[in-house]
Amino acid sequence: MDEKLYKPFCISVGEIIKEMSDIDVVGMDSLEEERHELTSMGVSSIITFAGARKGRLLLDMEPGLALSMAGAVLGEEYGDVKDPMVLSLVAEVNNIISGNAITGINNELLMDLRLAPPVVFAGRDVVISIPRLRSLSSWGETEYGRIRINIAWEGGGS
Amino acid sequence: MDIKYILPFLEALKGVLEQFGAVDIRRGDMARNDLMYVDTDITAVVGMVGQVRGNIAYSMAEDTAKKIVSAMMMGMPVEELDEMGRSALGEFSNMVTGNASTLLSNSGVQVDITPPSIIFGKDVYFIISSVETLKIDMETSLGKVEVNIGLEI
Amino acid sequence: MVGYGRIKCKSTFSNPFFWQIGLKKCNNCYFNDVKMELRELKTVVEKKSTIKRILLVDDSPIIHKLLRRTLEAHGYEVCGDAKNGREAVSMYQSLKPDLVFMDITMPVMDGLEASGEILKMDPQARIIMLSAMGDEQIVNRAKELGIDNFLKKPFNDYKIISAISGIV
Repeated sequence: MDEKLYKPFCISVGEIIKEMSDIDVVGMDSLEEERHELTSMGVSSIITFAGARKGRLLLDMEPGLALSMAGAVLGEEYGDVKDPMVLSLVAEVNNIISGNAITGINNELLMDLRLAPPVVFAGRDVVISIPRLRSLSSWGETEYGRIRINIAWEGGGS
Repeated sequence: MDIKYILPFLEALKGVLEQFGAVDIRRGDMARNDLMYVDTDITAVVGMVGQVRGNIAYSMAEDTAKKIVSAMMMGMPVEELDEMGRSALGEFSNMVTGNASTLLSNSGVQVDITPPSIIFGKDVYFIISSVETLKIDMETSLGKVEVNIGLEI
Repeated sequence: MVGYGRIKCKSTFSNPFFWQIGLKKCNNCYFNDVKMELRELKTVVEKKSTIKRILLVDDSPIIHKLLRRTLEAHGYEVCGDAKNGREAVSMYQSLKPDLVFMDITMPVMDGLEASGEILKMDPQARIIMLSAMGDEQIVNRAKELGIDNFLKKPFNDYKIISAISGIV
């Protein structure tokens, strides 16, 4: 596993969330292989990219964390993760995390990866499947709930 | 959203479904939304980068998904959507979006598509674009496919 | 007489605040080890009066809300919200803001193109580009347009206010 393709995202999650909402994320230091299906913890955002290689980044968290982040960043209390502002915030956080990490990878590994806009969703018993792509997940904890980043790269042994 | 960016997706969907034996494919309701609320079970999402940037989602009931997968596998009966079935759905959304991107590049718009994700769930609220999303229902003999297009153009 | 002091400030999105320090001038005194932040805040207080009305341009409603909160808390007026480059250009014409925060990646017309159009209309336009993300190509293209002020996401109160003082 080429760490350079995974670590930047794990590092980015903690930094960005701390910077934006002052919430501490602990524990995102190891990566584990994920199965082809993940069960969403409540709110999930997917950003995909193409270029020299293709891939997918999934940011997934418990509703309590999404609501707390929205409250801290936007200055208002939100009661439901399906509120468009809460969903938009999770999407924007994923956008910044992925954008920063991908820019670093582009600069360091001289790739030309471009991101599609984020997709974000919340629902009941949501399961996400990425067919035929191996992925690694890193888990983190905050005082408001858990968070996970899942990173998948297409083609050639990751 | 200019219709010239929308038609390739509808044409591609029709073409791919017809390839697998679906008939009676016609356009149904259309609507503009900021938030995409899906009350069907399965949504496949594919992204697009290049001259046009955005996401396209194909939503359908589990029953329709099984029929499409069955049609893709030469009519083999599909009792439940296992890993192979989900892989087939990913392939389906790839094919449709890939064909659409070819049609777009034929008219001078260069794009590349990103890997598909399949999302299963109930009462799912999606945001797939920062601009409004265009929703088009496509009625087919295999069931309804709801196409949501969010393109930043 | 010699004295030493230290001031530590922490500002988050939910608690923005300003420090104002009154200092007496003396003939033989000098400041040693004054942190950069204080000097810059003092500069902002002095030059703040030349910037009052700000136009925000970004396709994300979150960024608009974020920037508006900080700017309004520091006494600036957000005179307009544009979601893409084309809206930015027409709003610039009608509103004539003192400063523009311009995102780069946007639908319809991107931030670089919109900035180019605005600078053609008004070569004195003040523009701060958002989310360059260290992308060298984009930064270089912006510099070719004459734009030298960038604010990388995520930003906090201090970075936003510093960016304003930097552009004056």
